[in-house]
Amino acid sequence: MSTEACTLALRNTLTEIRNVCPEISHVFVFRENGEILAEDENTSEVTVKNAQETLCALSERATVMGGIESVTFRGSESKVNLIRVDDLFVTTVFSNKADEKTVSNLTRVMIPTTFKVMQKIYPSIKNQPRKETLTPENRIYVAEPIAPEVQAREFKVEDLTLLGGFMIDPETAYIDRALIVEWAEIYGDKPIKQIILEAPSTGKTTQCKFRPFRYAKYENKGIVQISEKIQKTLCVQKNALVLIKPVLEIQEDVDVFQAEKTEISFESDEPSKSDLFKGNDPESNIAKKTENSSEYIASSETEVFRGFEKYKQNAPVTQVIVENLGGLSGRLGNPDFVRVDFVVIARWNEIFGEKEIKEAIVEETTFGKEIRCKFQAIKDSELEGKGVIQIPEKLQQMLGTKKGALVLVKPVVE
Amino acid sequence: MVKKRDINETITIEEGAVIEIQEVQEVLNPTVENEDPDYANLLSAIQEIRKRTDVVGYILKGDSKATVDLNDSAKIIEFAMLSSQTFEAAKTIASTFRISDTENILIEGKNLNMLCLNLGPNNISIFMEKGTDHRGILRALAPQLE
Repeated sequence: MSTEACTLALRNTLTEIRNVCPEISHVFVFRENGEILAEDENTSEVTVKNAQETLCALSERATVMGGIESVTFRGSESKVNLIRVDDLFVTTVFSNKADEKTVSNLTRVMIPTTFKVMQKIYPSIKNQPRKETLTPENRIYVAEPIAPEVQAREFKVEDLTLLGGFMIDPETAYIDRALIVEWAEIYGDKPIKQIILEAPSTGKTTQCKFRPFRYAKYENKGIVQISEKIQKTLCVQKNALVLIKPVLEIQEDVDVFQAEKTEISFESDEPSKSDLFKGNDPESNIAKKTENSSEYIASSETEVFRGFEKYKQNAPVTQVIVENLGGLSGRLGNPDFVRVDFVVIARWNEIFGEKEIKEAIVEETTFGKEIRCKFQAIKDSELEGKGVIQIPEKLQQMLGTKKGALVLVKPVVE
Repeated sequence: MVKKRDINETITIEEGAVIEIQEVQEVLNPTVENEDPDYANLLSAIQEIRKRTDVVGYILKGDSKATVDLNDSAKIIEFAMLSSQTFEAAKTIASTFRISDTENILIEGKNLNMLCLNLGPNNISIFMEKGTDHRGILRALAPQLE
């Protein structure tokens, strides 16, 4: 899937390049190892294969020159140009009438940018072979970035009519969870609190907060729910197309580590993803002692979990800042759960797929104390995306930590 | 028949012997009358270009002989093979994309650049420092290209 998406994006880019510069008759991309990544719609695979073999052979011979950076074959009417960008070889065939600078800019900028963006979205494409069957649909547009590596995606406007317009924040846009997860994957530890909405038809832009859709029926439909107020700001209406890009903020204290999916083994059945957001059982223990387990050191006052070595190797660990668990949960009784950022939970969900994650391990970074407890998503939108974890006072005491300290959190995959 | 001893940098060899270039080789002295005038003119022009400090060498290959002059004589074979492969690649690329005959080829490497020209039976490969403006060399060769 990811390779297909990458190839599709590259192919669309190549076709767009030809549209922009009709003097280009062929354009294709292959890797140094000979793997053909994409070609434009007018270029047959046989042609590409033939040229790729020739150019790869030439590249091998050119080691005496330190390797190839570019090759230009100049004919009386057309040129064939090969440029190297990292391990990619971009080949263009164009008429002598074409503006070489335009061709160069298009190929040197658009193709590598698209490829890098796709690599960030789907890191696994680095080692995957190309899949052949492709049907162009759902184009991905790479707009002018607001900051390095930030890409815009196109969505259709949907009215925000939740509960007749009551109980909604008119300053908030509701977007796909998948998009939020994707940003988390791409931008890692950079907090994203707001997005920029841009209406290409009117040229208007606005910046606002965002939340995931409240109802699953809107997911994966390529839509964004925005209030009438935002629609007015953008001078758009329902069904208009808008571009969405995240606003990145620099946060130095927060570090996010990710584990590779392939290294993780699962033992449990397949629970519902929505279980992630339940799991507040008031009668459950803070640190549950499992059957036949010697992994806990129990004391009269606290049960500190010191095991889970297997998770240390495989589970994605996120470093977060301790925040008090306020609100009703914090004030009433002894809450036995922590609140974790939705994006972190979504990332776990993405990594572990259908596997059940009901609990998380929170580790204090100085002395290495750990507790295992249930978790819920942070409810307070002000705290979302800030790299914090809300821990009730009692659990803070057990961990020997306090507000403002750094802890590590990782999921327990059943 | 008079024998001429060509030494080191300028090596005159028989056809097809590019890969077996020896540093010192004895060849029959070619008479001026038998020499291809185009080849002689090209050689003269290239030798003039070779004087430029940013040109690090050249390979001129004709129908029956080749002349190699490189700063790094230890890599003569590698450069000769690269030159040969480049002209082969040009033919394949031209037929694959149905472009007319290739007038010249410019390869920009990480350390050096190479300009290749095909002039009838004669193939020229000129090796330059990176960043050298190859158009100056093309201008110098313009009389030969007409």
